[in-house]
Amino acid sequence: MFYEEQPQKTLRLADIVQGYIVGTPAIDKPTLNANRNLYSLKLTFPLYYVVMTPCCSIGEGIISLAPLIQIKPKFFQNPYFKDDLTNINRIMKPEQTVPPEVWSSFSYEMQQERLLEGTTYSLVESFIYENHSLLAEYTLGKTNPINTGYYMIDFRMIYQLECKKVQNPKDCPWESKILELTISSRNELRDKLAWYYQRRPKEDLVLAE
Amino acid sequence: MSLNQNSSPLNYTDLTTDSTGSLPDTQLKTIIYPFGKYDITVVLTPSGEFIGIAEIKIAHDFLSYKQRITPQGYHDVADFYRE
Repeated sequence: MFYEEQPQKTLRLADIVQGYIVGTPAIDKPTLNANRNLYSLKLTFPLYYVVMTPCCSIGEGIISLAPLIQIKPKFFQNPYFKDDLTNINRIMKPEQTVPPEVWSSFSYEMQQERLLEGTTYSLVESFIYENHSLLAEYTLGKTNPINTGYYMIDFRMIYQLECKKVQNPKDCPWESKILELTISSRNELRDKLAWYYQRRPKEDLVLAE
Repeated sequence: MSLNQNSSPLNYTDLTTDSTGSLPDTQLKTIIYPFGKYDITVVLTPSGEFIGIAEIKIAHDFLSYKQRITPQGYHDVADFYRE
């Protein structure tokens, strides 16, 4: 099971919540002088958000969130993903990471290079949320429209929000909570999130030996 | 000897064929030859005969062979799912 049947009255890592806001500052380039006027601030109001602060660190009026966004239509082109989109959340074999026709189009060298990686994560920034009757369905694509209730978060979109009501995991606006992940699903998110941050670039992998 | 006062001003757009000298306007081809941490641009005739070296620059890919063959620990497939 992906979602907990009886959610707790606390905020926890990976919970889906509602009623918050995304504020994204944007600049064309870093400002290295006193002129700090060249920026814009984009405010958006997604339907759903995911709590990205680890359970024990929620509090003191600060919370990290990520907007719950639509999945990518091309995920459905991969039979392994189409069968269960939450497969994206877990480690997989190299040949499962792309549609079979793409895998067979790779050169022998390219296949060997990818096989060398072994069974591990792909799409390292993404974590899929299963559909649920409490989550609105939406339509993907125009030529071959697909109705789905699956969503995802992109770890690159995690941001910080100040909210005075968030004092600790129990003294918090738990009424904003819609769904809670089961312990096993939350562990999957924790594992993939940790993997996302602990990756080392190739040049560091060899130099670190 | 005196300067010809009637000569036209130097036309910088014609430098490839002007007598100031640079390469004649023929169909030369260049290839980039990786050598250690350098990329060497070699000039060849259309039939592949060596003419000279046009440029030597530091390669942008600083990964050694050992670094390149080291597994990165995840499958980089994001490009296949980009819209």
